[in-house]
Amino acid sequence: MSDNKPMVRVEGLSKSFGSLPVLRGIDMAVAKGEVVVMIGVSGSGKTTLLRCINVLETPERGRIFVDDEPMGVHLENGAFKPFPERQLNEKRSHIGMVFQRFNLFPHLTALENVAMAPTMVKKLVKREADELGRQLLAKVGLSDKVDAYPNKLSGGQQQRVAIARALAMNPKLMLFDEATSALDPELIGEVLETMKQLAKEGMTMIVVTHEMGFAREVADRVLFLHGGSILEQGRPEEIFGNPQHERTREFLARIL
Amino acid sequence: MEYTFQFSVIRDNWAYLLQGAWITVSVTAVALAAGLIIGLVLGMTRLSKRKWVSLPALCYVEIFRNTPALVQLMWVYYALPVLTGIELNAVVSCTVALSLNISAYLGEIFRGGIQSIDRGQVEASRSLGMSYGQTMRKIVLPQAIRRMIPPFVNETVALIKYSSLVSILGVADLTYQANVLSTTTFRPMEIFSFIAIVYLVICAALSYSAQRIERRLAVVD
Repeated sequence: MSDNKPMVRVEGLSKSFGSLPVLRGIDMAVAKGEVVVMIGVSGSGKTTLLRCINVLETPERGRIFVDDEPMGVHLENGAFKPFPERQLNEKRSHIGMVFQRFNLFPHLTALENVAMAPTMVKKLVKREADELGRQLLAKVGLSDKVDAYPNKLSGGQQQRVAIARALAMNPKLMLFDEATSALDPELIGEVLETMKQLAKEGMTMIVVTHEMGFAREVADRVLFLHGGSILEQGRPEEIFGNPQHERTREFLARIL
Repeated sequence: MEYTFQFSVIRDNWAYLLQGAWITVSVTAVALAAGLIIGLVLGMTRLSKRKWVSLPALCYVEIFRNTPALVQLMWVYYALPVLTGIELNAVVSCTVALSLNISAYLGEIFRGGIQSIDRGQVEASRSLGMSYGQTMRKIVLPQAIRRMIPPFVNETVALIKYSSLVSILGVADLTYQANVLSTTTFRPMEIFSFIAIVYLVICAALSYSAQRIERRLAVVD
C-alpha cells in the first residue's frame, strides 16, 4: 500500500505547555499512502503531535518534514522556529486538517466553505472553485446540501463538509483530530465511511481517534501514545491482539 | 407660568436650522467613517502579541476614553496648528477630534468582536493555507461585525449627541444655530425643544435601521 519515501518525518519533537511537558522527543515517520492511527488517553500528546505537523502548535525542539520539506527552521541547538507566515501558508495549503468541532465557517454556505480556500489561496476563478466544490460535496454525499448553511446541517453532515473543504486544496496529507468525538453515536458511521473511502483512494492520513473499530479496519499502523512518548506501535492486529506494554493493555481494556 | 409657546419661530427659520442639522450629520458621518478605519487598526494592534505594537494602541485608547471630549476638542483645535504648522478651520479640527475620540471606543468594540470569534475558525482557515489577512477579511471580521452592530449603533448615537460640543468652537451645527437663533429671537424654549426632537429623530431612525440590518443578518447565525 505504501512506497518507501516518507510523507511525514518527525525527529526529536518536544513541546511543553508552561512547565508541563506534552511531547517528549517524538520520532515518527509516515510513508506515502499510509494510514496511521494514534491512540492514547487524553493528555497523552496525540492531538498536540498532530497539530505540530502543520505548525498550528509550535514545538520547542525537533524537526518536522512533510514530503521531504522542512516545516520550519531547524536551529543548530535543536530548537524549532516556524517559517515566516508566507512560507508556512504555502506548506499548510498542502496539508488538510479536520477538527473535532468541525470549525465550519458559519457565515458561509457548504459550497462557499469548500470553495473559499481554492479561491483565496490557489486563485481559482469563482466558476472553477464552485465546480470543484460541487464535485467534492458530491463525493462526500452532500450534493443536496450545497446551499445550506452549517447551522442547518447535522453534525455528521457538517464534518463531511469539513472534509470536502480540506480536500478542496488537493492535499497530499490529511490530519484528523478526533473527527468523530463531537458527534452523536448514530452520526459517527457516515463520517468514518468517508474517511475509509479516502484511505482506499491512497490518501496519506494521520488520524487521532477513539474509534478502535476504525483503527482495526483501516489503519496500516497504530501508535499508542502515553505521557508524550510513543510507547508502542505496530500493525493493528499486533496492538489490539497482543499489546506488549502494560499501559497499552490497561488502555485497551478500558476502551474496548 | 405665563408662557405661550410660539413655534412660528421654527417655521420662519427653517432653512437656518436645517443647515445646522446638515453640519451635525456630516461632521458625525465623516468622524464615524474615519473613526471606523482608525478603530479597526486599533482593535487589531491591541490584539497583537508584540508589546511594542499593542502598548501604544492601549495608551491611545486609555487617553481618549479617560479625558473629556470637550478637552480633546479644544486641544486639537489649539494644538494641531502648532504641531503641524497647518492652519485648520474649526470644522476640520472638530471633525478630527471627534474621529480620534470615537475611534478609541470603536477600537475596543473591534477588539472585543474579534476576540469573541472561536479560535477554531482561525485555525481552520490557517490550516487551509489562508494568510492572516485573508483570515481576518473573509472569516473573522464578517462574523465579528454582525456581533458588533449593536455596540456600534450605541457609539454612533452617542457621537451624534456629543457632536453638539463643536458648537462651542463656533462650528455652525444644529446646536450652534439654535443658540444663535435663541439669542436673536428670545425663543430658546421653542428652539431647543425643537432641536431635541431633531436629534431624537435622527438617533431613533439610526437605531431602527440597525435593528433591521441585525435581524436580516441573524438568519445565518
